[in-house]
Amino acid sequence: MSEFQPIRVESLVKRFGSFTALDGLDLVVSPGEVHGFLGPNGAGKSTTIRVLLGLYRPDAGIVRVLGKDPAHESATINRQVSYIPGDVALWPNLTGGQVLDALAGLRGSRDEAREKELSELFDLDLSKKVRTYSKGNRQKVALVAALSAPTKLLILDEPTSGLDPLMEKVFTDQVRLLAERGRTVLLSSHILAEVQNLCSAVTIIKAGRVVEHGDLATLRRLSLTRVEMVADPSVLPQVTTELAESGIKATGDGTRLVIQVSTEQVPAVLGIAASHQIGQVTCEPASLEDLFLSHYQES
Amino acid sequence: MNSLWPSMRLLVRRCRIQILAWLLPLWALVASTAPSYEDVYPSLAEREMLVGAMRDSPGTRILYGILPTPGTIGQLVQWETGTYLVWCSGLMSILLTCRMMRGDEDTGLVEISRGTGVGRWVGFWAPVFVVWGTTALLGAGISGVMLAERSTVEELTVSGSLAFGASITITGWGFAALTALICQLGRDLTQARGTAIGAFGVMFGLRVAADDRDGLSWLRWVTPIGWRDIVQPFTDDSWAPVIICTLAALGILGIAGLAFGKRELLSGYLPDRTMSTRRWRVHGFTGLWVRLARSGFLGWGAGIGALAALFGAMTGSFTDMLAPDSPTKVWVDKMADGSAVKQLMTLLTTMTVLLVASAAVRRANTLAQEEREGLVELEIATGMSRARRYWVHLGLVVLEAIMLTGIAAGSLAWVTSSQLTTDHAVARAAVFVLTQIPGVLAAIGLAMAIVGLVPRLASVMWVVIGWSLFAQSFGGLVDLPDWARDLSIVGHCLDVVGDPEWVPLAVQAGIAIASLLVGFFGFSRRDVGS
Repeated sequence: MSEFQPIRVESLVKRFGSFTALDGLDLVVSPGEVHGFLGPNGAGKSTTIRVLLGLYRPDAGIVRVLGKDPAHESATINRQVSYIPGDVALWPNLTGGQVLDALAGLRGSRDEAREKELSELFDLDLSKKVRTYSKGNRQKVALVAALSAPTKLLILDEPTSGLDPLMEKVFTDQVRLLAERGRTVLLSSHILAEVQNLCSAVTIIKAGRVVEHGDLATLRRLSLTRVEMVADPSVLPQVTTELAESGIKATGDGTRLVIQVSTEQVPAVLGIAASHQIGQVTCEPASLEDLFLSHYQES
Repeated sequence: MNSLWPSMRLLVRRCRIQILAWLLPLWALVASTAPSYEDVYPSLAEREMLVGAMRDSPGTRILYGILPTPGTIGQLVQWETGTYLVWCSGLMSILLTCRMMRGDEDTGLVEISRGTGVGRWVGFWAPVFVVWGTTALLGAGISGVMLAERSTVEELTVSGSLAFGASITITGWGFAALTALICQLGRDLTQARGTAIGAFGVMFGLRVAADDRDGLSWLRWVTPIGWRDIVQPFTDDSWAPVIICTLAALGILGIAGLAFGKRELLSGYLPDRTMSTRRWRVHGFTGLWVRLARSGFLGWGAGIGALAALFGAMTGSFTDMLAPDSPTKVWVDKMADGSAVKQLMTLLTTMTVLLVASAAVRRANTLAQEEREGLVELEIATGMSRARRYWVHLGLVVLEAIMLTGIAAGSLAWVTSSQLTTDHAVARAAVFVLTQIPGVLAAIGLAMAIVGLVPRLASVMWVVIGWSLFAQSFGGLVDLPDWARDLSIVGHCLDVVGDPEWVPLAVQAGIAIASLLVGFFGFSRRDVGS
């Protein structure tokens, strides 16, 4: 691979005793990309992120972040990384402003103007003690610190957890702005709309392995097409039978039938609908939710 | 009060190790004291000088209160050991009540349990009942031990044994009630606990004032630390004060309950003075650590300085009792070697340095606590290397310990100089404390080794502290072998005369260095926050 990749993981293995949390995971994030990192609970997302930050030691595999090995050079790497953890931990007796001062002091670099701007955008009162903040406000402190720090790479684990919809929009706008300025973002989130809006590529993991990866447009093209028919209840059973004879499974609730098929099967489905003169037919590429849920569900 | 009993069971289950860690050593302490007194002072006549000196010594009066006459074994036990039991009962009640009542509220456990339908008042009464039950168990165990020892110590009485146990119980109840009230006033666990421990100090001061001035003896009713002196176990064995003090504790609980009823979850009545709200200029982890640790250092420094001064005040009368062949000398000979002054200084500096070591171990263990809370992960994610995090933390813990040792040495030597100047007493006060620094460093090293390798076992270090206390304080009395007594982080120091004994200090320094390196190796290799 000739292009420099901010994150490159090959065959990563991580065990905790007899439990294998990551089982040969691969992950590549290209420069300037907003890369979605998804998976069900317990899939290994947070474990992967902790390996990238040098908090966990891998048992096997190659891990490079900004070209360096986090197992040996995490301090150098992390000065160029902004991180938001899944559970934000802050010093409870400090104010929000003092937390920003502390984090900037530890990092050794700061953009105070940007901090001020983001604090206003996120409507965050920096004069209050952390322990008086709601979950959402603690999250905002972490967001202001991460988004304002002059770094090259952002690793965000459930960054909008606890935020109201308005603040989620502020977050989305800011990440988009950072991406336009060339920053690379690894975004781990369960909010599929957020991933769909922001990410140009995704990696889906399950049980410590990658089950899907690629740019979003390709994934959506390769995924199933969703066809929905609305018709008289007396017609739909016959339609269902004919679809079954073609090897196509349909689900319905009496007046509505939903079918998920590959692109090649769409004409056959539409033909059956037309033969029964069904006028209300909707045909669209499978949503991201359909795509992800097909991997989230147990096989 | 929905689900009160299941909530209490859950509290006991969660805190059972802590509770047993308090009860068992205290019962063992009681069990060892009466036979030791009987062994060294078999008759009242042999105790006469000791009793007289203890009643007259300002230092012992401040620390233990007034020793009742004629000085039976029971009276000696309830006076000396009883003082430790009063303190421990009070501190145990404070720490358990704070943890169960305010700690659970701060961590969200009260909120989640109320979400399951647990009654609102359970968050108040469950901790109170558990702590009251624990102190009742403590008192019952004390009475049981004393009653059992009547078979070998004739001077112990049934009523005295029961009154002794009851007096310790009501002390615990009083502090539990007071702490329950303070938990409503404080804004969080830290403020509540700090205020409660400060109140403990005030209660101690009230008892001292009550003993010091005849006209202020009524102050004993106002402080739970003075309630034992009103009950007078093994003297008057008064039960009316037990009932009155219990009612007083219930009254305080009632006020605490009213405050609880009006208080919002996670709020308090006291203003928030935990830390200034001014913005900071932080330069690296050292700057942050100093800002966060400052108030704790000041508190420990004040406490250690005060205790060392108290010990210094006791020196004037002690050496009078340590005349050759006196029973007290026979007893003290089991605990320390050398001349009377050397023995005295050995015992006093051992206790002082043990407190410094406790402060140092507590500070060292904060690395494990901060890792558990996710703060170490946050710091490493900003670009701090593990090595820097470990060594800066260690360096500041060591620096703080050295400063506290200096405070202890200075305070003890300064006050001793006004009480006792013979046989190099003042120089020994300073040198004995300062030359136990290798022991403190060994304690820090061992704590850091545990934190570096297996942080969830950080509290194991308190077993080392507890053993050191037992080995140095009671090892001689229970005829512990020399090798077992030497397994202590305190008690090994240089003398100002004679040949210096470097070997123990060199061994401790070696342990310190080796264990620090082991801790670093573990911390830099293992997963952080796993």
